[in-house]
Amino acid sequence: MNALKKILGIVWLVLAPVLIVMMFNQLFTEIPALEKAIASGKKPASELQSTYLFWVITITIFVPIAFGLALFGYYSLKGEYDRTVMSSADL
Amino acid sequence: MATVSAEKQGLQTQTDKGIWGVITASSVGTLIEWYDFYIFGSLAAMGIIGKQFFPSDNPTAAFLSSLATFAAGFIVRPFGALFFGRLGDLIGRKYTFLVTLILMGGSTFLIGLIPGYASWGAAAPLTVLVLRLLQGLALGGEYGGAATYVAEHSAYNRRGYFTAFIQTTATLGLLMSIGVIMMTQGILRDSNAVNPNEAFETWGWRIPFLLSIFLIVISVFIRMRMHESPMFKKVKAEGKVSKNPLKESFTKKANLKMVLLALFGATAGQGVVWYTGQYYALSFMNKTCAIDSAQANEIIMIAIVLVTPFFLVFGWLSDKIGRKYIMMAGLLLAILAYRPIYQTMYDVSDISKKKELTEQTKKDTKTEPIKGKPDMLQTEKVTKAFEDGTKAILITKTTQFAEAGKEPKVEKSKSVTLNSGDKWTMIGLIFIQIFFVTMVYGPIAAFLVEIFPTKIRYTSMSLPYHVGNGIFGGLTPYIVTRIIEATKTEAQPSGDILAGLWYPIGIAVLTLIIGMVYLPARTDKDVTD
Repeated sequence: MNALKKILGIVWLVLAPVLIVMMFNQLFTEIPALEKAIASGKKPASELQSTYLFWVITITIFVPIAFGLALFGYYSLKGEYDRTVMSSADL
Repeated sequence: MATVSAEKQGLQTQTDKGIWGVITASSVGTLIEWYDFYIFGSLAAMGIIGKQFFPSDNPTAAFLSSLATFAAGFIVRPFGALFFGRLGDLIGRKYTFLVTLILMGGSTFLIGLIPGYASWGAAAPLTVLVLRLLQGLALGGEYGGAATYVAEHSAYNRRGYFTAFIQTTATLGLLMSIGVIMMTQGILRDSNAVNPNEAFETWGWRIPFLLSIFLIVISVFIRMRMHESPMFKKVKAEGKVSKNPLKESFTKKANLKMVLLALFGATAGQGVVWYTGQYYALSFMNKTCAIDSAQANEIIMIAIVLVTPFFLVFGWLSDKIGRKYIMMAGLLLAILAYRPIYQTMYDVSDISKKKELTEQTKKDTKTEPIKGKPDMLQTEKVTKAFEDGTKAILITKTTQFAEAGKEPKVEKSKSVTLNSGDKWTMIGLIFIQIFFVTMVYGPIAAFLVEIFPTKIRYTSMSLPYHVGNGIFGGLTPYIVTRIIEATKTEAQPSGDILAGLWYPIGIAVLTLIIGMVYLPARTDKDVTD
C-alpha cells in the first residue's frame, strides 16, 4: 500500500498543474468564441460578464486548491502518509 | 493507542449524562444557521433572487449571477472557519458559536430588507453580496464548533451516533427553508392570476428572511445556558491551550498533511455529493425539468423527511464498523448512479414524450400597457393536459416597444405539474441521492474530530470541512449549470443536460481513490489528546 501511495503521489503532483493549465486553456478558448458570438448578435453582451465572473471565481478558488493537491502529492511521494497518524503524540 | 485511560473514560462517560441537552442546544443553533444560509440558496434555485437583485435583460445571466452570489457565501466559509476556529481554540467553543449565531441572524434579517435592483440599482446586488459574505463567515465558524462540542461530550463508542444529530441539521435546515418558503408561497398564492406566485415573487420572498430574527433569539437564549466543553476546560486548566492554533494547524507539517488528507480524502467528495443530491437536484427540477416550483419543493421535502433518519443510522453504524467504508461506499454509489438518475428525472418530466389531450388545451391572451412606460406587454398562457395526468402551463411574454424599429422582446417559460405516479418516481430518485448523502455525511463529523488533537481541533477540522463542503460542494450548482450553458449550441439549444454531472463525479472519484488508499479504517477511541 505504501508503494501505491508513492505512485499516486506522482499522479497528484502531475494532476495539479494539468488542472491549472486546463482551466486557463478553457478560459482562453471560451472568451474569444463568446466575443465573436456577441459581435455577430448570436449571444447577449451580458453573457461576457457572467463568463468572466465564473472564471475569476473558478481560477481564484481552484488554483490554490490545486497547489494543495500538489503538496498532498509531494507529501505522499515522500512517504509522509506511510504511517497512520491518529493522536497528538504521533504528530 | 487502542486503550483509553480510566481517567479519560471517566471524563467522557460522566459528561454523557447531559448529552441530550448538549445535542439539543448545539443542534438547534446549527439548524437555524443552516436555515438562514439556505433560504438564499432555495430562492436562488427558484430564480427569485436573480429576478430581484440582478438586471432582468438576460434571465440566464441573472440566474447565474444569483448562483455566483450564493456561491460567494460558500467561498468565505473557510475564512470564517479559520477566524472563528482560532477564537474557539483560544477562548472556548461556547462563546465562539454564540457570536457566529448573532452574526448569521443579523445578516439574514437585513437581506430581507434590501430593496431590489429596480429601485436601488447596482447597490442592491452589492449589499446582498456583502451580507451573503457575512453569512458565510458565520457559518464557517459554526459547524466546526458544534460538531467539536458534541464530540467532546460523547463517549467514544457512541461518538458517531451523537454527532450524527449535528449532521442532520444541514439537511433539516434545507427542509425548514423550503418549508417556510412553501408555506409563504401557499398563503400568498392567487390561483386566478396569470402568475399565481406573483405576490410571493414580488415581496413575499422577504418573509422567510425576516422570520430568522425570531429563531435566532430563541437559539441565543438556549445557547447562553450551555457550558464549555469538558475537554477544552481540561486543556485550558492544564495550560495547554494553543497560543496560535492557526500557526500550529497549518505551518506544522504534521498537522497540515492531516488537513490535506481530510480535504482530498473525505470532505471534497462529501461536499459534492451533499450539494448534488439536494441543491443541484432542486435546481435541476426547477430549471431543467421546469417542474412547478411548489411541486419541486414538495418533492424535496418528502424525500428529506423520509431519508433523514439514515443520518443517524449511518452515524450509529460507523461506531460499530468504522467511518471509512460507509463514506466510501456512499461515494462509489453516487459516482455510478448520478447520470442514470438525472436522465430518468429528465425523462419523467419531459412533456414532449407524453401524449397531449389536445381537446383540453386552453389558450388565454392578454395585452396590457407596462406601468410608467409607453410599451405594451402581451401575455399568452397555454394550459395543456396529458393522457397520464401531467399538466403544463406555457407562458410567452412579448414586450412590444413603442420605439420604432426596436425588435419585440420575447420571454418563454414553462411549468410542469407531474402526475402522482411520476411525482413519487421523482421523490424516489431524490431519496436515493440523499441516501448517498447520509452515507458520506452521517459519519464525517466524528471522523474529522478523531483525526485532530483537542487544542487545535476547532481550527483544523473546520478548514477541510468548509473547503470540501463549502467550496467543492457549494459551488456545485453554479459549476454544473455553467458547464451545461457552455454545451449549448445552435444545433442543440438546451445543451447536454448531463454534462455538468462530470464535475461532482470527477471530484467524488478523486476522493474515493484518496480515501480508499490513504484513510485509516478504524475509529480513534481517545480524542482527549
